[in-house]
Amino acid sequence: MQASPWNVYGQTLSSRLFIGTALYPSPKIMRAAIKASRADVITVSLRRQTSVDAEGGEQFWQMIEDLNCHLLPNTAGCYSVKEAVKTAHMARELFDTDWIKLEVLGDSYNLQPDPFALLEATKVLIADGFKVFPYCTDDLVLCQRLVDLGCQVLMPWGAPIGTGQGLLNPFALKTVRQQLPDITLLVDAGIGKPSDAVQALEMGYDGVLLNTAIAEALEPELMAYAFADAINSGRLAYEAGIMPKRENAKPSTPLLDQPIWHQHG
Amino acid sequence: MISESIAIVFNGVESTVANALTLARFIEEKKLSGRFVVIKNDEIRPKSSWSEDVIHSGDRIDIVTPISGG
Repeated sequence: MQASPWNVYGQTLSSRLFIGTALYPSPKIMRAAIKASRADVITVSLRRQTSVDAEGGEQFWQMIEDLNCHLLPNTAGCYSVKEAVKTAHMARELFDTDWIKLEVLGDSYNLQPDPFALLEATKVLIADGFKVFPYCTDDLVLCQRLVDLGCQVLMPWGAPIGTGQGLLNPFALKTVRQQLPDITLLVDAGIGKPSDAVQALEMGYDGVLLNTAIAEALEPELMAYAFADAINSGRLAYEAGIMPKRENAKPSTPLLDQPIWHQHG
Repeated sequence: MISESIAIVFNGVESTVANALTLARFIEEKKLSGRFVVIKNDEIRPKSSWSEDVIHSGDRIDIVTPISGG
């Protein structure tokens, strides 16, 4: 059973997985994994051409063009507002989309978002007509400020990019979900295995974005199938309404008219 | 005397091109095709401007193309 479609910036999507296109062992494996993932959205990036690999850009484009996925360009590697805004404008011209995954990094060790620069860049890009998908931390105040600027989507991290650590601070992520019930939320970064994605979806997050967890699996295509099923299950579970946790045990088998009668007291 | 060629920087490499060449002609000569964006002196040059945009001495032209990303 497929979970219900959902809407992101006016676009209806059936999958709650956004998948990256980087780090795969080969282009063939990348294509197979993306198809297996059933993702509707793929992330892409851009670079200045060099004489060493003048054909690379066109080759990559031909690999993804017929996947029929929506493109979400990113501003990876940007450490300043100026860099991120410029890259976003180039991305819009190159990919013909207003969608932008906005990354403004503050530290090269943990690739953490710079919250201050992120806010500033978000303000500029929203004014320039972009549909911003900010890669942010799980800080509630930062998330609220991004919403105040006009973001309809937020993408807080689960853990630093590429670490596969899973959801390191589920309490903070739950708080963001509870306090911003009307905002589309995706956990972006740090997911390592399908159960991490399930945890996010069961928590009420609308989707997840991941790349390394699939691309660096021993068998990326098989892992993509696993994530597709897991994410769908997580969403169905959330929609079904998960039972509350209890302190005391409650028997699941009725005690009335047991075959062996126990005298109590 | 007007020089027949001028020096520019193309994709980070010093090059010479014919004087008074437009971006459109430059792109044609370089046989650029597919999906790309032209950046001239750090400004995006939309396709609609290529036939009017003349390259001058010292200009920096970069081509931006798609790559994989996460």
